[in-house]
Amino acid sequence: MNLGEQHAHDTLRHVTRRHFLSGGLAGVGGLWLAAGSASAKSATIGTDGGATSSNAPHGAGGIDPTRPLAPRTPMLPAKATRVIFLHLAGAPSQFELFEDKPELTRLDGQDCPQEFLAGKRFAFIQGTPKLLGARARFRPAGESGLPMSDNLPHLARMADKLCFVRSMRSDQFNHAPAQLLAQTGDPRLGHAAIGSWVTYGLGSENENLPGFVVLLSGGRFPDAGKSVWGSGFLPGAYQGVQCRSEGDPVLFLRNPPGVDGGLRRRMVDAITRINEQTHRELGDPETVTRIAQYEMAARMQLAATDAMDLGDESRATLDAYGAEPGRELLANNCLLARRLVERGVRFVQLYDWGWDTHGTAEPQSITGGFRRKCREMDRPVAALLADLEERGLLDETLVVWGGEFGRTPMRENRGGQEMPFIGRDHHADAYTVWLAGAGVKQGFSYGETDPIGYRPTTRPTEVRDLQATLLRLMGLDHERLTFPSQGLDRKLTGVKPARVIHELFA
Amino acid sequence: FFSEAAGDEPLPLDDPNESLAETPHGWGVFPRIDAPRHAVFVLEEPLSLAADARLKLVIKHERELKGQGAAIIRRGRVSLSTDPRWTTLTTSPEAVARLDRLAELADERRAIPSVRVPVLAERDPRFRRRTFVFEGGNWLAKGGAVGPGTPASLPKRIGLENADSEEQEPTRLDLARWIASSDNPLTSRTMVNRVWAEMFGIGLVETTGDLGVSGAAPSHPELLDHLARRFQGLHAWRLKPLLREIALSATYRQDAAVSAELARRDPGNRLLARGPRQRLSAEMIRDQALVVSGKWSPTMFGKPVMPLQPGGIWRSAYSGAEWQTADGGDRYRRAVYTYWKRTSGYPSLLAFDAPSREVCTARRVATNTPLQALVTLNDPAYVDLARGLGERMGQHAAGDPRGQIAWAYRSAAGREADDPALAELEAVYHAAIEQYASNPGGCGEFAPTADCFARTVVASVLLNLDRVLTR
Repeated sequence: MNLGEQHAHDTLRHVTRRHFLSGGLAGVGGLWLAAGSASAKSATIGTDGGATSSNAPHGAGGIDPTRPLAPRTPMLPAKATRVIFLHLAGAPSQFELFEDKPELTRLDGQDCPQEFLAGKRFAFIQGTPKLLGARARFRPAGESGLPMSDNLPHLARMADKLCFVRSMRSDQFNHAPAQLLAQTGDPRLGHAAIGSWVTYGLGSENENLPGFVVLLSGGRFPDAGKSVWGSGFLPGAYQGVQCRSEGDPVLFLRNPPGVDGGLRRRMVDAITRINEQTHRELGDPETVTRIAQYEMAARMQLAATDAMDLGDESRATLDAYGAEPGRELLANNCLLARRLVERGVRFVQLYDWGWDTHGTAEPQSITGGFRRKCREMDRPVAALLADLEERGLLDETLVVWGGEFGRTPMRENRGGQEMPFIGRDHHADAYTVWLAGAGVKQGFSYGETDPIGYRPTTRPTEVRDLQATLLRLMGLDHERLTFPSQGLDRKLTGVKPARVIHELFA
Repeated sequence: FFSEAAGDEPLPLDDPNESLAETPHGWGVFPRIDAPRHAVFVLEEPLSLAADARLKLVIKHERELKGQGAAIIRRGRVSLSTDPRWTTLTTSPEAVARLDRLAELADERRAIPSVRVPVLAERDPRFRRRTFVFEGGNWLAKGGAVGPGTPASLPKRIGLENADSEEQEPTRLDLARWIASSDNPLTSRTMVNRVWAEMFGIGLVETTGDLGVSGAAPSHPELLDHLARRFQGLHAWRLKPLLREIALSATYRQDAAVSAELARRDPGNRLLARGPRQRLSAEMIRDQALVVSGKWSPTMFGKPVMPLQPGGIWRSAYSGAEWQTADGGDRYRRAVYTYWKRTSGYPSLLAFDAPSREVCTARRVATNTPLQALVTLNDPAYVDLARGLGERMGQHAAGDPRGQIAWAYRSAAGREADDPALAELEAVYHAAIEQYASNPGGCGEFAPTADCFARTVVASVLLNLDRVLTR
C-alpha cells in the first residue's frame, strides 16, 4: 500500500468509525436499488470487493443502516458461520456433570481448608463450609475417554465431539452481573450481547428471519432480563429477537383477526404503491428502503412461521430430541435452533432457566431438581449435535454450552447452618464450558483445576478470552470489531487484554 | 436504667431513644451503612462500682432486614465515661431550652401542609461520602480519594472567579456556574446542537453526545457558534425563541424533495440544500397514532401506565411482577407515560430504536427494519388505534367511502391525498368488504360490520405509509 492509498484507507476508516449513520446513508436506496433484491449478497460497499472489504464492518460504508443485516464478508477466514449458544441460566454444577474429582469425593464432609476461604466472599456460604464430593458417578466416555457423569447418558455418547474448557473463571458471583459479563462482556447494563456483535460484524444469511434469535425455556427470563440479548450501544437492529413458544413465534407476526393472507398482500401492495409515488415526489432513498422492509416483513411472516413450526418434523426426530410441539421446552428449542441455523440465522441464543441449585429446597437440590433438569437437557442437546452432524451443519455451526459461573466444591451452608437438601453455592473461580462443531477440536480438554476443583491450576481462561475465541471462530477480530460510544471505541471483550485460545482450534 | 440515647445522625431513620423501649426500632446504621457510627447511652443515675466489679452489657439486635446484608454490628467497641456532663446532657437548663425549642419548631413544621419530595442538598461536610477512584472500574478496589473538581483538560476557573478562595473546595453551585458561565461555549453549543438534531435529524455536530476531541467536527462551525451565542445571550437560555428561530429559518422551511443527483452527492443532507425529512421517533409514532385514532387520553402527570402488550413479555426471575393492561383512558396515554422496566422494555418502542434506558443515550440511530413494519401492521395496540381511526372515518361523509378515506388521509398525513393514492386506498376498502362478506365471523369483535372492517383496514394502511411515519 503506498502513502496515497494508506491515506485514503485511513480516511475511510475514520469516516466509518465516527459516522456510522452518514456512511450508511450513502448506501441507502441507491445501493439497495443497485442490488436489486433484498437477498442479494453484496449490497454494501464493504462487501463489494472495495478497498476495505477485508475490514468490514470497519470498511467504508461497511454497514448500511437501512439493511443492517445484509451479509458481510468476515474480516478473517471464518471457521464457523453460525452459532448456537446454550446458556444454562443459574449456573449448573460442573461437579455433577463433567468434572471428576476423586480427591474431592475422598474429602467429602470435611471442613473446607481455611486457605480457600481467607478473604473470599460467597453469595450465601458463611463461616466454614464442608467439602462436598460429587453426587454423581463418572465414567470415561468415547474414544477420548473424557469423564462424563451418569447425569448425562446421552451426551456421554457425543463426548468425542466436545471441546472442553475446564479452567473458566468469572469475576462476578451473582447471576445477573455474571450473565451480563458472559453475554455482553461487562457486568453492568447497557453493553451489547455477543449475538448483537456477531450480527453487527457479519449480518445474517437470511434477511427474511431475524439474524439474532433468542429462545427461552425453564419458565423464566435469565436474571438479567432482556439486557443479556440487548444491543446496548449498538443500533437497535442488532438486538436479539425473542421467539416464543406460545402466541406469535415472533412478536406481531400474526395478521389481525379477519385479515387473511390475500387481504394482507393487498394492503402491503397499496402501501408499496403509495410509497413509490411518495418516492417519485420527494426522492428520499429511505422511502425505497421502507418499501423493501414491508416486503421483507411479509416474507418474514411466512418464513418465521414456517421456521418455528415443528409440525413438519418426523416423529423420529421429535422423539430423538424429546420435543413436544406447543410446549415451552428446552427440547423444542434445541430442535428450533437446528431449524433456524439450517435457514441461515446467524446466532441462535438459548436460555434455559432453573440451574441455580443451592439446596434450599428439593427442586434446587443437586440430588433432586438438578437431576430432572439434567434429564431435560441431556437428551435434546445430544440429539442436536447428532442432528447437526447428520445434516452436515456441524462443520459450519459452532455450538457453545455453559453457565454464567460454576458451583462451589463446598456444600452450601446458608446462614452458617446445615441445610435440609444438598446444594452448592455460586462459584466464580472455576467452571466448565464446552464448544462443539465448526473449527474446534473434538474430544479435547483444555485447562485444569486443582484436585478439589476450586481454582484453575493451568491456563486460567477469562470470560473475555472465550469471547475473543468465539469471535475469532466467526472470522472476527475482537480488537477490530468496535463501535464508538461515549468517547470509546467499544469492544465485546472490553479494555483488558483478551487472548484468542488457538489451542482449541482444529 | 438509661435515661437517654443520642445518635450521630442529624436526621435519623428512627429516634435513637426507641432503643430504650421494647421495640425493634432505635439507633442503627441506616442511612449511612458504610461509615463508623457511634451512639451515647446516658444512665439515669451514675453507677458506682467496686474496683473488681464486672459490668455486663447486653446489646440486642432485633431488627429483621430482608435481603442478604443483615445490618448487624460487625466490629464494635464500648467506652465508659465518668464525665459528669453526660448526666446533664438533656437536663441542663440550656439543653431543656433547646429541646423545647426543637419541639416547638417540629410542631410548627407539622402544621405546614406539604408533600414528601426529595430535594438535593449539599451534605454537611462531616457526613459527606468520600469518593475514590475505582481501579479498573471495580467498586471493591478503591484507589486514591478524590475531591470535587472539573476535568483537568478544561479551563478551571471559568465561572469560579467569585469563589472565596482557591483553597476552598468547590461546591455544586460552583459547578453550575462553571457549566453556565458566559465564557464557557460548550454548554450552549451542546444544547443548540441537540435542538438542531431534533429538528433536522442530524446535528451540526453529528455526534450529539460528544463535542470533544473524539467527536465529529461540526459541518457548519460558524452557524453553530452563532446560534450558541444567541442562545446564551439574546435568548437567555430559553428554548422557545431558539426553536422559533430555527423553525422560521429559510433552511428549515426548504422543500424536502431531493434530486437523485443531490441524494447521491449529499445523502445525509449535511449541506442543508433541502429541508429535513426523517422517520418519527418511537414515541412519536405511538403518540401520532393515538391522536389520529381519537382515543388519545391527554391526561398528564401521575404514575406510569400499562398500554396493550402481548402476554408473556414479563417473566422476571424471582419476581411476581405482572403486566396488567390499563383500563379506559390510561390505555391511551402518550408513550412517555408507558411503564418502563429496563430489563424488559415496551417491545414496540424498542423496535423503533427507543433505548432500553440502561445508559444515557444522547443520539439514537434510526434503523429501518421489517420488525418495525410488523409492529405498525399487527401489534394489537396499533390495530386498536386503526380501529379508532376507522370509527372516526365513519363519522365523516356518511355513505361516501372515498370522502371518508380522503378525510382520514388528511388526518394521518397532514396533507390532501392525490387521486392515485385515493384509488389505491379505495381498492383496499373494497377488497376488505369482499373478504368480510366471504367470512364475516372471522373478523370477530375486530369489526361488527363490513364497513367498519373496511375502514379499519384502510386506517391500518394509512398508519403504515411512509408519509405518515416520516416528518
